[in-house]
Amino acid sequence: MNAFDGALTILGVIVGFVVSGGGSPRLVLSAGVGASLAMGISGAVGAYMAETAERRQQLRELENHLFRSLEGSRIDRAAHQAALWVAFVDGISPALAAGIPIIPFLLVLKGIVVLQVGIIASLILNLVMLFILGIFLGKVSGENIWLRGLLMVGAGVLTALILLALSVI
Amino acid sequence: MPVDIRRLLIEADKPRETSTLELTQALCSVNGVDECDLVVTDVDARTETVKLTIKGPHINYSDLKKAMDDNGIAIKGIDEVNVVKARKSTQT
Repeated sequence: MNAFDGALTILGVIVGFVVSGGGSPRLVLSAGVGASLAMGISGAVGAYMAETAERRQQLRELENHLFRSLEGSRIDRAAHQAALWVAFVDGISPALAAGIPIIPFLLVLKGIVVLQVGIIASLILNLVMLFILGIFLGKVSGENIWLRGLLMVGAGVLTALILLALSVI
Repeated sequence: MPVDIRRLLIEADKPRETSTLELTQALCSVNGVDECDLVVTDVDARTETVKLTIKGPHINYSDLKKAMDDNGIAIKGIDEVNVVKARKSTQT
């Protein structure tokens, strides 16, 4: 779900850029890269701390059942490795979800596409990412993948609409 | 007088996460072990009680204990032991 946070955050940055009247695409890139990095580090550190605490507690419970310490055992090592992998995935997913939709702004900066095309491409990329994320979650939970995908896109559209409404006020 | 441990019947508790296949394979890889049988005798929420029969020409008990520790096994007791006088060719 950290990827969802990343995608929606960057959607907020892009819509905010549009409603503020635009400007240099460097603004979106700087804000986007900053947000991606911060979310990546926050996701990784947060997940690592939470995972290690939870797995350590599970290990202690198991130790109480076995009446012996499991420190240094395969289970201990596996728990630590699992926490590291979860931290890696939780760190990389929001960074990727936030980083990919701002690629069109890089093309705008290089003069390959015009700003309007960059904004539209970026918004489409963002919604596509949300849709793919919804499909993935639907597949994992065994629910209707298309419905899940559309729900995710709906959340993105709703966020954009709220931001647009706020800009009018 | 040097002796060889030929057979051990061990009652132990193992975490349910530890696969019986991986455990027996790990124990069978221990120096001096030829055969390893495992029977689950009791199942708890987090653990399983197992009876392990370890056979081999000269079982290295300290290596066996190390392999069991590494797999999170808690030895409850050694129920049966078979030890023979070591022949020179099989001494460790």
